[in-house]
Amino acid sequence: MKLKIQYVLSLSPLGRGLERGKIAFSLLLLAFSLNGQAQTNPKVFFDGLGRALVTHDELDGNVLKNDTATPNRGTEGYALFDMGVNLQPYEYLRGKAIVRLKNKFGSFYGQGASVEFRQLLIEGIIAKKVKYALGDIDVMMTPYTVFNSYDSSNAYESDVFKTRRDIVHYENFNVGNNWRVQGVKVNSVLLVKNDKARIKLNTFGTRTRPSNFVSLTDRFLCGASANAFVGKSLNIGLNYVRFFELQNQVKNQATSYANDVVTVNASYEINTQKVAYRIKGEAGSSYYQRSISKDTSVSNNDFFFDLRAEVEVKPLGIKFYGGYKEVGPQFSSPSAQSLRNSVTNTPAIFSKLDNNTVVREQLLFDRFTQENLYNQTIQPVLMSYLPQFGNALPYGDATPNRKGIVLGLNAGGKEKLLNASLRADWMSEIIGEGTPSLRHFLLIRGGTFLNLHKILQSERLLVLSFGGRMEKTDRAESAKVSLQTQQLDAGLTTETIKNLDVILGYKALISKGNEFMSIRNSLNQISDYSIFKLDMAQNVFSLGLRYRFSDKTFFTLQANYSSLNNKLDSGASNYSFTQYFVNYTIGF
Amino acid sequence: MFFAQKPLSQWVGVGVGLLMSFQTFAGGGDSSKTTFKYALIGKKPPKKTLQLPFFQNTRLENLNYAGSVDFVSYYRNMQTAYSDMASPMKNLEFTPYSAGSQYNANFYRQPLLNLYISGNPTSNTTFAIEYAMSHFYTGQTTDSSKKLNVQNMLQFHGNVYTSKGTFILTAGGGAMNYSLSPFTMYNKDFREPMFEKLPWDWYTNANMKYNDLFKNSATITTSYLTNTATQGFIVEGTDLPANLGFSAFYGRSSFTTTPLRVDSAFPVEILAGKIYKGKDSTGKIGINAYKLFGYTDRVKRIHDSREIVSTDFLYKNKKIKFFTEIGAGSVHNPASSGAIGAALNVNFTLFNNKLQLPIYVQVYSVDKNVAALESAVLNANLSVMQGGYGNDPRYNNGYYPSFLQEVTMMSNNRNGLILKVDKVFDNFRIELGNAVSQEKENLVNVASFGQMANAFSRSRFTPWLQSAGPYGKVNNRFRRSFETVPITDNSSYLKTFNATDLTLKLRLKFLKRELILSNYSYAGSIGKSISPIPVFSSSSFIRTFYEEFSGYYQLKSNITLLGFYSIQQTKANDQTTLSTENGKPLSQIGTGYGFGIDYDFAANAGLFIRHRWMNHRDENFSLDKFKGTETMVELKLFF
Repeated sequence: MKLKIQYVLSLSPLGRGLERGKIAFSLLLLAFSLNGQAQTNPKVFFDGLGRALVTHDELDGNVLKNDTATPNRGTEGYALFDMGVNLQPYEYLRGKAIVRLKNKFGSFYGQGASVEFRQLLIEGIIAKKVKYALGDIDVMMTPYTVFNSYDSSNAYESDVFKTRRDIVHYENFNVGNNWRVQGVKVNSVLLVKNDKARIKLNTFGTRTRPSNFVSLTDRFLCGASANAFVGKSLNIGLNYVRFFELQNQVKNQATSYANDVVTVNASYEINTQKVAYRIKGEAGSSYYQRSISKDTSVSNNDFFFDLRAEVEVKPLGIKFYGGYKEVGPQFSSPSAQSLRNSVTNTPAIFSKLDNNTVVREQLLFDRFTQENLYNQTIQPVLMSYLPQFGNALPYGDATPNRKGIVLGLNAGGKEKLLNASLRADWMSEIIGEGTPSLRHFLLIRGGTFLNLHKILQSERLLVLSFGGRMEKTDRAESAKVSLQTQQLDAGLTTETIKNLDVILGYKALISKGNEFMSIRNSLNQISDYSIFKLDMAQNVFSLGLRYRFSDKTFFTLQANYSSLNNKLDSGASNYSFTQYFVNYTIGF
Repeated sequence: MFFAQKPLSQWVGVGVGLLMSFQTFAGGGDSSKTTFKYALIGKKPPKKTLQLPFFQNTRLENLNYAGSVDFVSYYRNMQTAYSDMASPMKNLEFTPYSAGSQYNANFYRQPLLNLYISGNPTSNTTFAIEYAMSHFYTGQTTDSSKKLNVQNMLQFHGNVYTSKGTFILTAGGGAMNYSLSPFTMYNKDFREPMFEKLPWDWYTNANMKYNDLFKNSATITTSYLTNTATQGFIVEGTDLPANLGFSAFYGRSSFTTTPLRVDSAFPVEILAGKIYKGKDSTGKIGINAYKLFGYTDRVKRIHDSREIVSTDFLYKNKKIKFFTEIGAGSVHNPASSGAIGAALNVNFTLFNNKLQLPIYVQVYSVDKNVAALESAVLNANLSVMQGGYGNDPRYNNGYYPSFLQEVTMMSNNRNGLILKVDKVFDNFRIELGNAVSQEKENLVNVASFGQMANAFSRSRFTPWLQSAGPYGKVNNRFRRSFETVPITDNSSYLKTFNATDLTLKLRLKFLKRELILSNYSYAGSIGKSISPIPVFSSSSFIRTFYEEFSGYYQLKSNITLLGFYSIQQTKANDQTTLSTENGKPLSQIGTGYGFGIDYDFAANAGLFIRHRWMNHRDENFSLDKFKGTETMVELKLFF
């Protein structure tokens, strides 16, 4: 087994909240001065992204009947440029700053223009042994410790949707499963006995919230992991994360919070020429403390384990896996359970309905097109979610109060004709919520990309994609729950003339039934339940053109239609909107 | 070259301190003898592995940059002033227009440091951006004293080269220049006095500048004046088969909406385009289309839109330049019926190299429903508003009601004839222009005329505001000001407009140094009956005469002295609003005179000083008066 040290870095966005303006521009000037004096041995490099984007939206449907106040047309957009300046004065030191220029669409001569300092990152290597990064950093460990889970969207969505989701992810610093935080991280690799074993050491310390000097204390997220790779088969890791607030920092301290998570992960592989067998798993505990407003009535500690076995049949390019997992009801790991999508954020387009009085709920279309709906901070309390977008594992693998079986298979690969997967999760609660009866969940998801141009031996892209997600939630007794959700994805990318693609996509979400949604207090305990009933269907249809100037530069023109048909409410909840979207993105 | 690639050596010092601090990170130790040892990051091979992943992708190592340092200050000392003047009687500003609290002080600064950066990430993509840094010298150490933003340049380009043609995509914000045709998207060609220092002045040699201005002909429109400021997307195709080309635009112009409406996602956009055959150098024929899609608000679905379709034809050779545009347009909003109006513009220029006497003749007829604020045509249709229908009329900078225009300009709701003649000698030029026009419909009982004396200074008394001044008649625009006078004659008539101007330019040697003298005279009137020349009698609602004399003396090769005198006299007749004080009509006289120095202290830098005395009074409207001085100092450096 080959071991590679990988640093997840990108040109993408960085932390917020830093003072903009002077510092940013000083760095820019510094960059040019360095470039100016070192043309023959460049130590300054640039990367960046420019984007011009305009959307035009039109709202329609029953919702507008007898409505005299709801805005039903809208046009907005912006042009922005993120200049990434990378300085490398020495081989062991590198700095990166991204300064953003942004101009609202239609504001001229400085109106609506802004400058933001989007990222500051210093990276270095100490004595060729230890790598460090300071500033706006990305952190990720395991799915139960530090992990920014993908939302419930299907992984097999069309390019016409992916172009929109990529923008949202870029704007919200979502790079893979990393959380963008501010602090320092250090990593290194320890060689044992002439490279017979390697130990990867990673640690980080970040501040996720500053004190307001009155009632709120500083909040920190720190973590460390050691992963030992013995030979080519065995990997054993130890992970620790602490999310905590400083005690006695301010006089009127509202909370004092600390949460520790310790896990062990391991994997073992038997690799033959045709078949590879793997077993892997992770297990651990969380320890939760609150010294102020402490509630001693419930245990604050809990555990989880997740075991999995895999068989990969190499000639067929297929991997089967299955496993069992159990995540305790009190298991708390905020940096793995915080959601990237915040359901409490209001959609920016047509934010209110019903004579401009009722906040519009997020639709499927909103969740991959609107930059403002995302959460960028790690929350100590489990965040609210909408069950139609995922009820079985709303907080990803680390969803508490779940136990059950996982079965799945992966086939093909990105460069193959077929790239497909299918996974089923049979889950149930460990303890009942509000009743002794347990909910049972069935989640089946999968999809495929079909690279048809490979069959046709054409250099022009012809890619079909299909994806699906079916979820079923039941509670047979007491407060009965029955909720079924189906989500469908279909897409087509076809390259007509060179680099000019016609991109099509369809999404549907059908959800019907009822659920009792937990309301949690500041102690992360369920304090109440709200009744949630659904009988609705959502559709998204998109058609577009895309011209690819280079790998990172494209122009796209899209028409999108999104609708909500709520059978429980024939009036205000039935509407559609059409959105025209124009975008040119230049990346380098 | 605009984006000349040069090292910014002057900023090397900024980085030295930080570079030195990097030294402290150097060092390391030998741990190879221990049982445990650290993996050497980058051991195989060190340099390659040390390149962190994001640098291993496409990396851009060189950028092009250019820019300017432009310190500009204005000190105005008024002895008497309009009561609503936005600034105090004694006022020091470090930008031409004081933005005050408007738009977070972000609107239209003349940046102290303007840095343009461009790059070519790939062979077919480019970007060009601007960091515009302004300083207000407020004495505050916080950001309130400074602004960093983008004003003009935030653009991205993509090019596609094929055997069938070249396609260019331009997208972005700032202000993207775009031009289609005079009736659709173009620019308005207002005259600027030679004495004035313009913010977009790119000259680094004053003598060259004044010689160029001496050579400029009144019969030729400078190409940069044909563009309008836009944001959005432009796709252009050139060198297509059969000598075809096209241009398409989707976005907004600087007239489309307001900052407040931008924030509220106000629905308004422009879609425009052109298909043409031929080339600018020899002639072409094209079809132009302009459509502004908009609504009066976000709720009611009441359209505020307008469209223009036209065809234009250009023929050009050494002896003649012929241009014509024929079009039709309509306006849809609560105050417009959507009726279709027609427009015609025919002009030709005859060149005769022997006589050196270019003659320009233009005939135009433009209906009120052919209205695009982005066009070359002044808009007389009140329902077509900057910022959209229903916008605050005080900020409607796109309305010219019954305006006595400069000779070179068209207005809608007007039939007109323009004649211009240049007589060119080596060191002497005579430029004569005459414009006659008549409105097609008496839309409003007012008459408007430009305040040419001290126009730039006047425009900054109440920047961008309409219906200002002591009697609510003054309208201020960018770098100019005009006055609207109510007409009390309610009988049926069509107003006529006459404007004549004469420019004399002389270049001679005085004490062995070059001296350029320029005299500009303008006479205009608004009346009821058609006349070939301005009518200076009481039958005209308005009659105005403007005289401007200026001289530019090259004291040394890098020092030019400037002198300037201007006077404007305007009178109205009894059929306009009379003074409540003495029952007499408007009778104004305004003077402006001053001197200046242009000092080119380096090949790319200059110091410019202007000082003027200004005086204005109306004999019958006693509050309409101001008197004061204004000094401008500018230090401008290009890099």
